[in-house]
Amino acid sequence: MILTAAAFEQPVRLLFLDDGVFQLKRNQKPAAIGLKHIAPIFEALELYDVEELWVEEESLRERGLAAEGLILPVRLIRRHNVAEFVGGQDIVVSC
Amino acid sequence: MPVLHLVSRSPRESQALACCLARAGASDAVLLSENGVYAALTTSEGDAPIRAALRQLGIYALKPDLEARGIASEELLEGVREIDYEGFVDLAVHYPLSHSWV
Repeated sequence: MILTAAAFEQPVRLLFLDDGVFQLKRNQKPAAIGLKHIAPIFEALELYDVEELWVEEESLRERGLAAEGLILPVRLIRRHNVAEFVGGQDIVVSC
Repeated sequence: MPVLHLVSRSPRESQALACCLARAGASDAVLLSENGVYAALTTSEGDAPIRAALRQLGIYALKPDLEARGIASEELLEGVREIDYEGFVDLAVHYPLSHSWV
């Protein structure tokens, strides 16, 4: 969905909340349980001009993660600013 | 723009409601549907977050989903507003953005 929107030149911002932040954790080896590695998909986002990856600071901290431990550079947002951020978009899609 | 937050899972099977309430803005509203309506029960344990949210946000519960689960109006937390499908459509028109918490 992200890539489809981006392919049609819609500006896309991704916001990672709660356990969603684990998707960006470094050193995942999903082959160990027979699953596909998703890191290359996130790394491909730049090719589609999806450059705004937002991560909620509190979600990271609650899980013992830090921005430095993620596979890509991200922009941090505080929980109390999420409502305004979401409210500022034209369309919101959850996944 | 104000956001209509959609929560369709029970607070005991999912963190969706808690995650939503932690971030909803002051001008937003929350619509409980399907098993999400269980959060609106007065008898519900651990209902402090939704009680607190009721003081600031509009919280709606979908009437057909309440009825299907045998939940009567008297069993709802004070302030929860019951709406039918038409009311749901009106809400969706009033709130230009909707955000499903999964």
